[in-house]
Amino acid sequence: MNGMTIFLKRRRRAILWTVGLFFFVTLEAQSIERSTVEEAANLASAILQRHPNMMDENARIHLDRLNRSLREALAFERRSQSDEDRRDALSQTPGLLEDLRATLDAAMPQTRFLIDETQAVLQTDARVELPGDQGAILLRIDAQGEGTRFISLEMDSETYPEHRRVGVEIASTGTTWALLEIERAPKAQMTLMLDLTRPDAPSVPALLTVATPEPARLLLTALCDENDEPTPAMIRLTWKTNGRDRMPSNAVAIEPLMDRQGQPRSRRDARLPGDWGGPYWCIPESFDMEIPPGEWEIIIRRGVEHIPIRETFTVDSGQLVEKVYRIERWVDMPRRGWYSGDEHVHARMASDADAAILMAWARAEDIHVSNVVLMGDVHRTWFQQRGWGPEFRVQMNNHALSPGQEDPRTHQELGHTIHMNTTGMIRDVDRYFLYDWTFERARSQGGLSGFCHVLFNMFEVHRGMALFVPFEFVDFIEIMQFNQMGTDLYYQFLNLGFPLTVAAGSDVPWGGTVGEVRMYAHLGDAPFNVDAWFEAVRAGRVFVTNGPMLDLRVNDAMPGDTLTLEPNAPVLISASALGHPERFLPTALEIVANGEVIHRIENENRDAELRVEMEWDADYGAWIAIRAFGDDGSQAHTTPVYATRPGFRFWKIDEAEQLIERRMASLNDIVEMAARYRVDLENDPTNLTKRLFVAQAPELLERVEMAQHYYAELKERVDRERELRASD
Amino acid sequence: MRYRRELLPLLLCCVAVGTELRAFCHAPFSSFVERHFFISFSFEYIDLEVVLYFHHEEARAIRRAIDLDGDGRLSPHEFERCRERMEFWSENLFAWFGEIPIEWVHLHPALIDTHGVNGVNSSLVEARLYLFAPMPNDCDSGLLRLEDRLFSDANALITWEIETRDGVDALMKTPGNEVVDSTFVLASPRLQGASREIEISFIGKSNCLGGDGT
Repeated sequence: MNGMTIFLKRRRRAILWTVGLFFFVTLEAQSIERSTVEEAANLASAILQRHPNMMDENARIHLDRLNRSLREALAFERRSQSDEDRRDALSQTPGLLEDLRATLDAAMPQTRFLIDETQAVLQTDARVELPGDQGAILLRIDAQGEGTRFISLEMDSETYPEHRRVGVEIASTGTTWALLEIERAPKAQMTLMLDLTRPDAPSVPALLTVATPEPARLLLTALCDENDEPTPAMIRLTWKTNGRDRMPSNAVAIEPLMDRQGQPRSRRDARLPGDWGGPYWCIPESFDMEIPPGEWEIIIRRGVEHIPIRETFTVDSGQLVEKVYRIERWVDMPRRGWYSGDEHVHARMASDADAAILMAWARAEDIHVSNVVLMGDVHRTWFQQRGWGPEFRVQMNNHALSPGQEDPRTHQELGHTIHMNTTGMIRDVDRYFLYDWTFERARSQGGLSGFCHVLFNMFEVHRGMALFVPFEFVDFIEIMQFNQMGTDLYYQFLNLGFPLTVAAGSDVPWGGTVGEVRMYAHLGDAPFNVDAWFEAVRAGRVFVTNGPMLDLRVNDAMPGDTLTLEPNAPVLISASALGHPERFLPTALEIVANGEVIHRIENENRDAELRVEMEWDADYGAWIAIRAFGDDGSQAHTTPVYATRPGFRFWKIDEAEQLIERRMASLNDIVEMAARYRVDLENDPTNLTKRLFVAQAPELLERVEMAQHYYAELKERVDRERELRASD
Repeated sequence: MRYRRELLPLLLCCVAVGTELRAFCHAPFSSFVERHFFISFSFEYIDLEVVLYFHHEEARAIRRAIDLDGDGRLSPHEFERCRERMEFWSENLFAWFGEIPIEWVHLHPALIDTHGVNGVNSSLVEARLYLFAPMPNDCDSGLLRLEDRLFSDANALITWEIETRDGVDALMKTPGNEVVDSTFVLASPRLQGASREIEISFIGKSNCLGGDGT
């Protein structure tokens, strides 16, 4: 007897079992339908995503693994090329489905029915309790025979038609697990009429009583740090039972002002540094609402100058809970002479009611000046304003809403422009691409103009900037948005010697919330005044931030100022970046001159403030700005101080020729576009953008020629200045 | 037989429209598909949640693609069909662990949200994909390269956000070679077939791919 025979004899029983199991699994695999596996995975997803509270953590982890395994089998089956591969893909799933059945049985409360031809007999308590007005019930319906089905059903009890039964399509034979998800369950209890239906069998009715615990009542007030008066604030309220956020009862209805653009919701998904991003609602001072019992988390914010509050509390059924939160400042920028603004707020402001909503939002985020902009393209405008100019501003103490416009605005041609403090709508589609026409009118109205989305070099804005910046039409450049700062294109223009003020705008409703990035303008000791704020922006006394607060002086000059250099006399640069231990700490402060970091200090001691004072030789001229970074990912940047020597341009002369070439390339794009659009129009004569562009091309190309001439002269100036510097 | 003959044109129509929705990722757009990628690393898995916001023309185009029967209204059945087609969108999200290509698996059903307005000419459609991939051979360190070819013909505003669990650390290298540890926003013009790429180095308990995580 050889070794193999002995082995076979000894292991005969094990081998028989293995072979038997193999055939069983193979046969079972053939009978498993993809739809059954899909239904099982979808039930697991419904529990994991929306009702994690129905299981303890260990069971949830196990269910997550099961879900992933089922999904992998489904993905493999979908990618399979042959029937055999498809069968193989599903061959593991009987074991997984059995595991799912066992997990549901062991780890979840369930309501069990035994069903025959005519009736469903409840095997468990007739009364099912939800944790609150949201929840789910796991039904297990056993019929005679073999078979399994997993289903999940959603039911909003508030909108569910009266007297209508909840149809539950169960397996013909065997066991059905049905997750019935219920939204907005009424107080106390309701009786659900279920209709258990099977293929080729009459439906069987069943009644189920669903009870909800008496809710608690939450009275919440947010207080202003300055005067302890109630104030609007931004709030997130999360029911820890299911991890879902709940809208405060009197949340400000921002959505109607959004013209169905961007993310037109009253719930605002704030894009903020650190852990503070995510959904918030604006509340007008206080609210009183019923909430389900259990553990809750609340976050209350009021813009970047305040310390957000995060608190977890538990409420019992029927309990009255009063919460008063005083949202403390970590810095008072108005006391330092700086007032915040957001130059890019899209919202309809066509009535007092609209303005009241917007004002609550601006106060909740503590943003002092909101440039509320109409938006246009060649076809139409959105976010209508009832008028422009001081008489249509809305002001409440130190918070103001001022109408403006983001128009003209072209996506694939010249970029988007934004205008503030204008006194009338400036729009003529027959001059739509002649941005200078709009810029001039804005300026004659006392307004300010700039390019937006420059941080991303978006919408081909490099072309518009190349064309119009040389003619001094452009006051500001948007370098902060969506929790990001981008300076590449901005620095290219500064390095060519163009003075440009920094700006920041949230671009709501594409952005998350008003003031999530903001620009501070310096008013000095003067009290808050909207006109003074715009004049400060015109003067360039601005920094942008979503965290650190900056201060820069070059000799006595502030951001936006021009400083005349004396030969061989270095300038004194004083800079600081401020944070707070309970908010964020500045990690680094950089002094940037002509695009280069000339000095950097890091926060080795974890101080709240970084300060630097240094002498620096600005030589023949330079732009000098500071930027800082917070440990939560926040950033800030000032407008430069322009240090100039008579007869010299403040520019990065070594890069000037290359930068001029880039501007020339942008201008050439416009020339080529004019030719291309002319051809395109023959195929698509209804394209309004191209039609207008081609119609306006002769005048536009005149401007391109002027700009080309300007850059050509600038190039000559490079040589002249090099000679001058050499002979100096 | 009679039914089969009558059903044939309907079936062909469904296949054609379904193919259109599946191929929709390559349709030309005049404006934006905004997208958020939330990437979560753990010892065993990488999870990827993709949120897409279709604005203006894109929203109308996708609504028209969902409207299989062309009646101008989006029905629950049409949403269901759309969700099925969305399963294929992940084929336009390429990823590699080191040199190993990743095949994404759907973790949860795809979602499509028309914000309660179900006409074809309305704006804003929001779509969500929940994907995952197992770490190769329980490897939790190395370099992950992600390439987004979803709607590559459209302008994009992309938010990349990374989160780590189980003691895994991750750093993201942006197209501009900036290194960030949490969130990065990128505006990208339409690429006409090209891609948007990002690299994430992750460091966990082991380093079986040989990357140094820097």
